[in-house]
Order: sequence, then structure tokens, then C-alpha cells
Amino acid sequence: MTDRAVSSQVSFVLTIAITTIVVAGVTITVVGFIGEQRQSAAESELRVIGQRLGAQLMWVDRLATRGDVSRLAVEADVPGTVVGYTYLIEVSASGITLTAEQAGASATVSFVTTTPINSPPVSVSSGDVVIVYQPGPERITVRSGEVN
Amino acid sequence: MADLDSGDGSGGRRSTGQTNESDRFTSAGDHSPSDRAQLVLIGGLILAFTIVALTLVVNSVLYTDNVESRSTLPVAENAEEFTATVEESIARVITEENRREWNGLTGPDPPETEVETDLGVVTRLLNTSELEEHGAMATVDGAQIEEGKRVGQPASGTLDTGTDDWYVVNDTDGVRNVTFTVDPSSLPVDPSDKENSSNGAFHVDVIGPSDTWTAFVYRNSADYTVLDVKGGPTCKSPTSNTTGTVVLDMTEGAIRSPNGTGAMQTATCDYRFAEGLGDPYDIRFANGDRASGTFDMVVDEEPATAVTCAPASVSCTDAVYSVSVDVTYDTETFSYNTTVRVAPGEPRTVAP
Repeated sequence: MTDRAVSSQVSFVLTIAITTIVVAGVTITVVGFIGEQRQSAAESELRVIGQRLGAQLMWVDRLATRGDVSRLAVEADVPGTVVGYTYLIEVSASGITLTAEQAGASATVSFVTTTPINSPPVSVSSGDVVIVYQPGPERITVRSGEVN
Repeated sequence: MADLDSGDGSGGRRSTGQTNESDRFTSAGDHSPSDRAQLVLIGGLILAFTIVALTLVVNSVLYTDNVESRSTLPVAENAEEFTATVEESIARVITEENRREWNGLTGPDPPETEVETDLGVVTRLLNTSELEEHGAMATVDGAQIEEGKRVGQPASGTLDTGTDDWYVVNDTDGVRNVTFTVDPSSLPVDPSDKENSSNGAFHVDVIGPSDTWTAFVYRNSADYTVLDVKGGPTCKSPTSNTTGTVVLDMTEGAIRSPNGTGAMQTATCDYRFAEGLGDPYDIRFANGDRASGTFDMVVDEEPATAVTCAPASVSCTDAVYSVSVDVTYDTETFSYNTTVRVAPGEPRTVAP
């Protein structure tokens, strides 16, 4: 009589074990997959943002050559976050480097301007990004803040 | 999995007759009812987070796609368009006023006053239209007008004034729209010594502080009119002509001649007028008797004695050489101020 109902207990333990393994497996796979996708999405978004920022810098450069420009500032059209993470923009003469450290993603985009670029790193999380042209000695700066 | 959450909250209860399903599980694990179905709960939560994260990724990708296809900086495009429109409008005003003055169509006011009045109307219209169209505070003001003289030979004839070599302009800081309309039949054919005063070719000398730029005009053996820049390119008219007129725009580097039906065709010539000379400079016509036609140019009247208007065949009228204006374009996200100088047809290398 003591052997009765043993199979159902074994089956219960097995069920729990298998379910645990399946859930853990799925979790690990899905988390890994999502992480990868997230990183690649962040990277492509950073690249697009960089390209657009480069194009905007070139626009400013182009406008700066029209006549004798004394004042030129424009709010750059860049989103505040990529895939939910803030990121850092660094503009130098060699290119734009965008880094979203938390997402483990970064992108570098090159651009060409005739006006020299002089710009410290800008954290986008701090607010709006503004591209400013300054005459004499002429240079283009990217900074956070407002246009006016 | 179904077994796991089949509990009904009756753990530990034992019936008198038979053991039911839930009782068996409860007794086997000896868990309290609140501990049940935890794996399913965890699984469900993970699934929920996964879906949220996936949505975020997909959303970001869609957003990236969307951003990619947007116009880069529409406000800068508008500002550039506005500035270009201002330049074009002012150029038209200058050209039209100078033309009216040349043809004696204007009132008693000097051309600079007329231009100032016209500019007031044009800029007011531009300011209003930009505000209506793009919601931008765009203004054009502070017009500074540089006076000049339009010099030309309106009636066709040889380009001399009794003497073959003569100075049209002395010590000027700028000249624009230097245009000749020549009769190709009056031009010598392939002169061997182009600078020779008796059998050479007509040439324009621009004499700078240390150097001289020269362009010859003659006809080649196939009856094409040739514009020959010394030390530069030699260009010919698009068609072969011995009748009609050929237009040489020296500052623009263009030769226009009529084809068989009389329609004008244009050939461009790749050089810069008076390249690298610096100012002030003189303009001399040499071998003026070796070409027949008309000429026309607008000279910067700086200094005021720059232009020789003495020969009877040469006409001089007051003109506006250039206009500088302040252009401001402001929106919430854009701030722009520039001074543009408009001198239609001015060659780049000799701009003051």
C-alpha cells in the first residue's frame, strides 16, 4: 500500500523540472535575442542621427558662406534617446561619434565642412542641441541649450 | 503546466470517502495554496517584459526609418531660399533701374534714390510673405548702395575714339557686365601678330597694379568669332557667322551667336575675368579700329574719376553698382543674420 500514488508524484516532479528548464531556456534565448536586437537597433539609430547631424552641420557651413554672416544658430533635429537610452555626441573635425554606453552601441559618421569645427562633447540628455556658427575666427560649435 | 494551477485553495483538507486530485498534490508537496503556479507567473512576466522590449526595439527601428526619410533642416532651406530670393530681387531692381536710367526713362531722381524706393517695396513684400508662408520673422534692411557709372557705346561703330588705344576706365575697384556686341564681318581673320597695331586684333587690356590681363577678339578661318584670353583658353562662338551680331560677355565668359534661324546660341568659356589682378585697375581698349560694334559695362565709381566719358561716341549714365543689405531670419529654432552684397554680373576675382 505504501507504493501507491508514487507515479503521480514522480510525474509532478518531472513536470516542474521540465517546465523550469523550458522557461529558463526560453528566457535566456529571448533576453539574448532582445539584447542583440536592441544593440543593433541602437547602433543603426545612432548612425542615422549622426548622418543627419552631419548634414545639418554641412547646411550651417553652407549658409555661413552666403554673404557676411554675423549670427547663425540652429537647433539640431536630434531625438533625446535611442531605444530608451541617452547618448553622447562628440563632434570633431574627423567626424561625429555617438555613444550610447548603456546600450553598448556607438557609431562614427564622417562629414566635410569648410569652416573649422571646434566643439566639446555634448550630452544629449541635458536638453536641446544647438549648432552655432561664430565669425572671426570662424568656427562651428555644437552645444546643448537654446537658440535664442 | 495545467496541473500546477489546478489548486482550489483547499490544501490540507481531507474528505472522508475518496482522495481528489487537488488533495493529492497538496499532500505531496505540502505547499500552502499561495505558493502555487509561481513558474507560470514568472514565465508570464518574462513574456510580458520581452514583448515590451521587442516593441521598444521595433518602434525605434520604425522611428529611425521615419527620421531617415525626413528633410534634413527645413528651416535652413527656407532661410537659404529667402536669402536667394532677396539677392535675386535686388539684382532685378538694380538691373531694371540702370536700364531705365540708360534709356532716359527715369524721373529727376538719381538711380540710387529710385533703387532705395523700389527696395523698400520689395523688402516689405518679402518680409510679409515669409511670415505668412513659414512663420518666420525675416527682415531685409540697412541697404547700402554703391554708386557707379554705366559706360557704353550705344551706336554700332568701331571701338576706337579717334585713337586706336584708349582707356575706358581708370583706377576702378570694380567692373561688371563687360559686354560687346560685335559685327563678325569687321573682325580680322586669324591675325598672325595679334597685338600689332596695324594688322592685329582688337583686345581688351585690364591693367592691374602689377600685371595685365588681355583678351583678343578676332575671327578664325572658318568664320567663328574667337575670344582668345592671353595665357588662358581660346574659345569660339557656337556658330559660324559673317553677318548678324555676336555677343561677347567677357565677365561671364560667354559667347552668343545666332544660328541659321536667327536664334541665339551660347558657348561658355572657362576663365575668370582679370584673374588675380587685384585692384585698382584700368581698362584699355586696344586696336579699337579692328572691331566694330557696341560695348557696355557698369563701373564702380570709386574713385569718382574712374570713368572716361569724354569721347562723343561713348555714353555715360549714373548707375547703381552694388547694393548691400542685412538679411535676418529668425524662428523659434533658428537664428540667422547675414550681410549680402548684390552686384549682378560681377566677376568673382576682381570684387573689391
